Amino acid sequence: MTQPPLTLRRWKRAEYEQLVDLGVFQGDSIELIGGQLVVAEPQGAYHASAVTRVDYALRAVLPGGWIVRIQAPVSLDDDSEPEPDLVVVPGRPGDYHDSHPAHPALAIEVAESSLELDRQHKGSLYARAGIGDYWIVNLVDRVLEVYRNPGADPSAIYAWRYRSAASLRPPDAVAPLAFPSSRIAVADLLP
Amino acid sequence: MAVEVAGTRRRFTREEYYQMAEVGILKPTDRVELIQGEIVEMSPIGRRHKAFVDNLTQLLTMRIAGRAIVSVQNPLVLAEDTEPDPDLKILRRRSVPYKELEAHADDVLLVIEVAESSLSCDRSTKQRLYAEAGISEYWVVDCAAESVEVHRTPQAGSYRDVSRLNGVASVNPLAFPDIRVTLAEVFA
Repeated sequence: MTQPPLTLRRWKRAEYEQLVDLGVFQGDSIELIGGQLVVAEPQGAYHASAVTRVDYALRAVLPGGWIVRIQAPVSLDDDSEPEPDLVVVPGRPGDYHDSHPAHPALAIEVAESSLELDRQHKGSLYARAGIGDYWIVNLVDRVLEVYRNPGADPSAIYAWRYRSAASLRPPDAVAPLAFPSSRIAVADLLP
Repeated sequence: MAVEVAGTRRRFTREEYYQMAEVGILKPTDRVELIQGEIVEMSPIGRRHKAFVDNLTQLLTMRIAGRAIVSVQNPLVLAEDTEPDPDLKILRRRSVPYKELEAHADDVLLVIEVAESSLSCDRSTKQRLYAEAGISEYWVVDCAAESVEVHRTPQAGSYRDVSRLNGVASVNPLAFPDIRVTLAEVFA
């Protein structure tokens, strides 16, 4: 049965953080995506292992003064607080104890079943927030998708998209936009 | 902008919904209702909508005085995750006062939604909710067409008997067959 869409109450990031502090989501994995509270999919072993692999590959090449955060909240904008699989942010391991980082230099999603969500929804959301470098470790096709150069596009879900997209596969190498000398073999990012 | 999110939205219970109101995340100025765990924005109330709600309030209150309670734009508990705010409802008098226990489906003799911009939702989502809850009579007052759709005999998630009244028609609520409401009065 099809039904006309209801207008759902949208949440601001500040309200979402209040809900988190209240303990409403204890035990639930939730992200705030464009004003909506989305339940995160449970994670399989293959996905978790792939995230760890990317983490180690990144850390091996990152210069000092930058850290990798795994599945941790990002204060992306006023109605979004996603938890990307990995982000690279400035600072030291003990930083961000009062508030989440807002401007990752690099965001990475490891995608198996979430590929379309990561491309269309998260891609548009991250582009809107001005994240300049967004990678999808595509486990389905075994490629690394590199998205850069965010620009406005009214047809995109959040009215922004990445204007440049590249698909890399071994033996290619990739370097984060913010650290051009930190080269990583694509083979080291894929299971 | 209605953005469709791929993925599953988090749904809430009434308890969580009230917790949000208590701590001020949901404010009294937020016009929302809880529909199957989703916190839904109610459409803004226009001039005609207000006028017709007032007309119905006035004439139902006068005619039913002392026999039942006319409740205007107050919540109705249908389930642990569903609590809409119908425009009007007629509640039976009962031994447990309403100050001690909220109105539930089995207290309701008639639910009325006045629809200006919410017609499709009132005729589908709300209609299904009220039928599922076993509410014996549901009226949808269509502000634009100046008609009243009377839904009766809830069965398997919808109403078996639906009639649409226009013009000089009148309707007697099932629970109060001696009381007559004319459309002319409703849309005065």
